[in-house]
Amino acid sequence: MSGLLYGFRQTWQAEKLKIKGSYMVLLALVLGILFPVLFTITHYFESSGNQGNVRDRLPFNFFEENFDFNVEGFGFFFFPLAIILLVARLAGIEHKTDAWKLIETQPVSRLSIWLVKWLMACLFAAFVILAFLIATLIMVAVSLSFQEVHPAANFGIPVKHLLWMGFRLWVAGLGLLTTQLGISIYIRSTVWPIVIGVVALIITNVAGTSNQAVASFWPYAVTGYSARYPGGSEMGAFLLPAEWQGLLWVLLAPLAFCLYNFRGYIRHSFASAKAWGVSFMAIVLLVLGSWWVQSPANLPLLTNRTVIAGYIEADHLPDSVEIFSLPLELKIQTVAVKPDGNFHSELNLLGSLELLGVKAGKNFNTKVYAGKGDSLFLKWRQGNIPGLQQVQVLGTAIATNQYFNKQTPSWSGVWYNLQYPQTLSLPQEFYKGLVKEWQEKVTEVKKFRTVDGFGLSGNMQALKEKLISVEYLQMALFEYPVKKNLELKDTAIQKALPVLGPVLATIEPFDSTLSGWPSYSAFLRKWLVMDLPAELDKDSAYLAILLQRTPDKTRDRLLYDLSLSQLQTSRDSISRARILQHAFNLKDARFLESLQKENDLLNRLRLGQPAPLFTAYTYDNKPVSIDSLRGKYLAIDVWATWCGPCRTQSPIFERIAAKYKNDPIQFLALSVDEDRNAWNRHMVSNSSKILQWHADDIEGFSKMYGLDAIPRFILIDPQGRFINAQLPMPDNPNFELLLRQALGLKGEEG
Amino acid sequence: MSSNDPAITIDNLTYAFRKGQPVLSNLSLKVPTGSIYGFLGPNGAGKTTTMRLLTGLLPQQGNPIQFFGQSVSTQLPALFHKVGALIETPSLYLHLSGLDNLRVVARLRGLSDKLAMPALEWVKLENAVHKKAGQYSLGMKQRLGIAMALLAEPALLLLDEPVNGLDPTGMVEMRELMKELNREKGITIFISSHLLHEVEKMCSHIAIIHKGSLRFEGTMQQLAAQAATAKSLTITLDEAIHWLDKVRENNPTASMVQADKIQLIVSSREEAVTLNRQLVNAGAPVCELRLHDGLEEWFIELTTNPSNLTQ
Repeated sequence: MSGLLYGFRQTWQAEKLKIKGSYMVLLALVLGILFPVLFTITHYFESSGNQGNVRDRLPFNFFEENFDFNVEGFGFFFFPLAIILLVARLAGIEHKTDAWKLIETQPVSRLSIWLVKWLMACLFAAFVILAFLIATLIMVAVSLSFQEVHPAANFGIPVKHLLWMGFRLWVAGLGLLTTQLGISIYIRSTVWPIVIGVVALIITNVAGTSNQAVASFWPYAVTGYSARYPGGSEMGAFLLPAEWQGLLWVLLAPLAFCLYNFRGYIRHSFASAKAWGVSFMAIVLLVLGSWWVQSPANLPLLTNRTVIAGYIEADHLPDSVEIFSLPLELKIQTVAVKPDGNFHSELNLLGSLELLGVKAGKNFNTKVYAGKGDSLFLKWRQGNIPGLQQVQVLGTAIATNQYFNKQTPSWSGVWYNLQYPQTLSLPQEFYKGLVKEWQEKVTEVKKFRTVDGFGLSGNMQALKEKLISVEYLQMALFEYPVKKNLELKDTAIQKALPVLGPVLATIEPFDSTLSGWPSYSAFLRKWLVMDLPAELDKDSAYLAILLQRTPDKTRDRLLYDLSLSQLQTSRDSISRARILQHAFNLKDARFLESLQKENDLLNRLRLGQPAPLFTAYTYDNKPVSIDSLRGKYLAIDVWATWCGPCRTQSPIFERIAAKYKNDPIQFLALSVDEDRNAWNRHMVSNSSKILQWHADDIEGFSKMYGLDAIPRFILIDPQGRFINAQLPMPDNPNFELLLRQALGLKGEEG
Repeated sequence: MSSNDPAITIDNLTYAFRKGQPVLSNLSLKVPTGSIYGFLGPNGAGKTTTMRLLTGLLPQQGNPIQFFGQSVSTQLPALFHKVGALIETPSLYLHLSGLDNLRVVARLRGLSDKLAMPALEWVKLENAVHKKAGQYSLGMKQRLGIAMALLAEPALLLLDEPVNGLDPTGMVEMRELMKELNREKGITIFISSHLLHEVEKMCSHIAIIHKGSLRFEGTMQQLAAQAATAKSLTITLDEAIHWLDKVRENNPTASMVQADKIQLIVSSREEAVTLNRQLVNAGAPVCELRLHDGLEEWFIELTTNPSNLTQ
């Protein structure tokens, strides 16, 4: 080896001297601090307009949070850019006067020369990161002077978090560094390697934003991927797969060295079998390693039982954790929470995927997906305010829980087209596009990975594929014909139907694995009766089909979904009673019970029923009750400070209030904020002309009024009876129309 | 390695960048230890390619080069402890001072930084020690390049056109420096140049290369003798191509220069007369005979004619 690395130390000593006066240290410093400085400046101008409406939060570290904002931009662009520029400069020092021939005619080996360049680049990369870490800390501290700091913040310097993130970024960047060094030395130019590097950086980052596989694979993208997850592995792994991938790209080093060593006579150099052999082996390793890193990780399942364990971090630990089966909230098990915050429960689940509710104490609950053989671990942080919590679901079902809880569904061109019926293409063409998109979505499911590279299990993939099929068949068979003004039995559609073959092949009626999913129920309700003549009552036909089946869990679920949906859309108590008649066919009495509850609620909220009494308090903390408002019509806006749509509707509500101030109607804004302080703060900074109350018992109010979403608008008559328990939004003209109707006012002119 | 081994031996060196277009063909040289060896040839003759092959910047095809009696490929890169080289234009770190450039070389050779200053004095750059190399004039850069090559006082110096860019005074100084290094430190110097008079004034040995092949190798004395005797003869005659073989029977140096011109080297005036007679007797339409002599004339004749392709 000493032969291969002949003169290594001397080369390193010489390299250090070359850095002098090359402005590389300055360049590295600037690239390290540029992003935090820019970030703080933009933050300064943004934050000046953003006051108030502070949501409640769990305690958090101010430095850590702001660092995490910073590191994403740094890892995405500035750090890889720094590597590209610094590596180009390191090579450029030699390019300018072809100093390669100077160092190559010294008693030092080529490998020493190359390796010293590589190590120097690694050192500079570390230096850029260090500059970034320090600059970020300083800039975040500076931002304290103008940023409104949340009361839940604490200010310890998270040294470990910073250094660890820095280390991971560095590791992830080594592949990029090696690649760029290869390019920068081979192409004897200072400009082109930079151009190539920046273009590759932009392309992979743009592609990577929508494609996880790109972002966690290409050397130009993995630093961004790494920085997107400042917390690192969720499952406690040393590095993320993307970071291993970054490291794997270092295996290009032998190839990069060969390109340097044999530059100018590559074709004649293949006789030097050893060097090329090593390069080849390294690339084989790179391919195998990448395959291994990129393939989905999976944990072994348990046999015969399901474990749901967890750790609760809270000032006041709940005594026990209850596990329910959803949607009926049927209690399955209650386990005690140990004094150290841990809990452990073992269940006997049958399905491969069930939706469970987990409740820890009175004020905290969450939903998890689990199936037979899963073992889950819940990391549960609870605050001092009801509902203020953070739950992380880990374990075998980590991918399932993350995937099914994904907030943003991916973009659908088919759905978008359906919103603009005039642009819809003919059935054949439309279905072809639809099947193509369906195929893409199915592939997406297979590609899904958590940060740690966990993919969905085969069962979950199959389930999700079926759900996607349901969604696309719904659009193809029921939405498209309506939008296009066609009938399913029209020849144009009938002729195009075979195109949907592959989608239809994945779906069958009364699929027990799908029975819990409302979209499947809704689809079956139309699909099973779609060939019937239009004049027949299709729901009755569907009901008849359901009732013909042997009673089992699947039938129960479908019947329940049908009845619930019918209940909620029916206008009067008589038809609701008729619907409940069918529900007596339910095998599981708990389904029926749930339907009856819903029916009771709907009956309570209907026209003429007395509005349930509730108490509240005013801004100056006086207790009040709704019966004090009798004698006038009452319009209530149920809202909360954290609710975005509420904030757009409330001003309209207030404008309408001002318009009818001389009429016998009282307008009330009722806050259901869990955090009373948030409401107090809002009241200080926002003046309001209408009555402002805060509900006392939010849970009780929600139950009595069937509150499933806010904002909610309710109209009550002077005797305290419902006129409308579910008014349209105030920006809808019908809102005012209904008010005028109730007040006996004539329609407005003009 | 023994002290009798030549510093450099080249045995039948052939090199081609592209197949069928050799830049060097069957070049054989012997550079005796202790010599100042001039490697002479016009631009494009293959001097720099030879230099690059000698220093391993280009890999040799086969194994024809030996340094101090041993194959070059087995000695790289340690060989450079004994060899200093300046190939083509000097490679300098323009952002570093002259002194730091020398320090870089000193470090690469595992030597003390302190050697840098004396080397600068050898090439008379003591006034520009801390000036950035980027601000040096062409001549100063050349000197710095030379200083970097001889910094370690290697046993063998390979200099590729070292006086390029120097003013006449600089050339003289450099010549003197070479001689001094050779005389006092026993450094073998291999210098390539396209200027005969430059080489003439300092070299003990000389090789002349043209279009990739060796035209002459010997001591300076042998060269002088050769030049005194060897004369270049140009015969002008119609349809020269038909007569080329005839001439070659007697004198293998003959070659076509133009459609009506044959050129060859003759050792004496008499040889030219005899050749002429033979040609005329054979019916050749000879219309002119021209004889050139003198070293410079001979060198130019040897190296400027496009004729030598056939060689």
